[in-house]
Amino acid sequence: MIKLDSILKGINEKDEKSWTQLYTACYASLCTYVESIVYDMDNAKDIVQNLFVSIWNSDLYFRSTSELLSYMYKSLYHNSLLFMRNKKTRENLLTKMKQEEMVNVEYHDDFTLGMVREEIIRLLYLHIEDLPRMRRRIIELSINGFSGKEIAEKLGISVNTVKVQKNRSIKYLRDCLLNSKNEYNV
Amino acid sequence: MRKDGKHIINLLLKSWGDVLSRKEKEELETLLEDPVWARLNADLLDDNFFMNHLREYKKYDVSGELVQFWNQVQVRKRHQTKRHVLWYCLGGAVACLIIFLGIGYMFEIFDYKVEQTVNKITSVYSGVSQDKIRLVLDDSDVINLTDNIKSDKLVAEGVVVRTEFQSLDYSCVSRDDLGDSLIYHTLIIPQGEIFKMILSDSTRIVLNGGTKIKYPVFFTGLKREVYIDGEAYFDVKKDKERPFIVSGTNFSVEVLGTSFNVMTYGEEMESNVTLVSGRIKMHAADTTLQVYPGQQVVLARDHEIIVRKVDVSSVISWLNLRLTFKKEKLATIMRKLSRWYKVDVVYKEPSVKEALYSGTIPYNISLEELFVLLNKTTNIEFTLNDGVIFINEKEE
Repeated sequence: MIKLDSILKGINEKDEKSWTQLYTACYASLCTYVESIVYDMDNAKDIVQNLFVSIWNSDLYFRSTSELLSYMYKSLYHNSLLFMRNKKTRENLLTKMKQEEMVNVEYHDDFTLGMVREEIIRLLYLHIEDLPRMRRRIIELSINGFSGKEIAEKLGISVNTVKVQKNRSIKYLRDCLLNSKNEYNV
Repeated sequence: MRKDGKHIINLLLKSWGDVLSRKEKEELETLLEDPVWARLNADLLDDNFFMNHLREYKKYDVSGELVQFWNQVQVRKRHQTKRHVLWYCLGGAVACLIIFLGIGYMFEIFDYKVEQTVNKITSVYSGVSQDKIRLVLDDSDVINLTDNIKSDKLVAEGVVVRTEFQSLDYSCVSRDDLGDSLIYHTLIIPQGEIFKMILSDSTRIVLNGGTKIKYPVFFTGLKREVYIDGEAYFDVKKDKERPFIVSGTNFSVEVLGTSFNVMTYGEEMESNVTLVSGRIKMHAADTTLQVYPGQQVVLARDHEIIVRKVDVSSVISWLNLRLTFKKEKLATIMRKLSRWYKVDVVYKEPSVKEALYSGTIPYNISLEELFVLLNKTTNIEFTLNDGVIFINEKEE
């Protein structure tokens, strides 16, 4: 699993390999997070891509990975709300006054809740590559939308085995998360 | 009340492992009194919720978006660190022109018809030394091509060494010579040489130093497959019925007709495939990727696969007898140079290995000339002693 800590230096120095790892580790979860606010996949993709581009082009320096992640979530939340507000403005001709109100947005529960959900799932997700081969195949097929029966046929095992292994795999992922160092349990 | 996400994640993870302190336990209980948070906690412990959420992730094409990202930032990239020293550089436009002319020229001369007045090599060499270009025949006999390249010769039925172009030509092999069996030859290029070949289907390959390629003398069957360890540039003859497959140790490239560069030296940490034109499919680990012109697929030893946009002209610069680097580690650059100049490298100060450099080196200058250039333009000192390069940081 990619340890963001080990690539923090590379991220700050705009090293391409580190950025590729950061992108791979976070892109999908950040999009899913934004989508839960803007309810639109294409706009979610744009908002997340713009964030990565703007960080790359900035001189921001992050002292820790949690600082980086927190910056990303805050920016995305902020930009998502701005996007929704602008959309609404276009639709309802709202006044400029109200837009400015949004700029001073409070980071309330809504924000923290979404971030907590996305980060825990992202961390679990990244541990999938640590699963033993067979379990990994089962989980990946399942994520790709195959039913228990289809997976059993594909791998030549019983439906019950698939079910048991799937449950054990998810438990394994939780154990991995508890027992390995990450951005939040330092 | 403003809540700290980092702290809450920490609390939740600890509660799963049942390692909360009494104070933390109270904090969590207070938090979970809020139904919104109680719901989230329950969701996170629910396997179905987790799996459904991951299916959301799969909607996003991460590697495709990553390519878009690099395209967007490459244009305005301005964070070149101060360690990038320009070694030796020709103007960009001129360099490109030379490269593309170079390739065109190289393949144009391939089109000459083979002269029929060739002498057959009668003696077969075994135990040919490793610094010669060697051709291993199906029956394990080894032919020394380096010493046989002084005039055009027939090295096997229908196989011709072409002196003029430093190449081996299989395009005259006919099926009648072989029957139905698939006979393989292996060509081994020593460090510091470049050699060209034309396969029986007229596919052209340029092989870089330190490369080994195994291929059938005549392609039969439904696919055309060759095996490679090293670096080569392929210009594949179009044949929709029979895909052309290049196999490396941990990947294969499937082609219908196109040109691309493969780099898969056993000693390198990664293999890469760069597409110049056309379309290829790349199979590695459990995945298959479509690759587009200008893209490079990088396969790391740990099976990590990266697709990135590259400057194709610099990847294939070795074809044009020049070596170009873009923000590469000194250690990688020196491995390339040692393949070309057949020397070993010793670092007196290992920390310099990680430093990044960009620049272009002509293939045709001597090692001594190169060092004069490098010592002038970098903060690194190169000394050559008995076939070994010593690398040290310059003292201020």
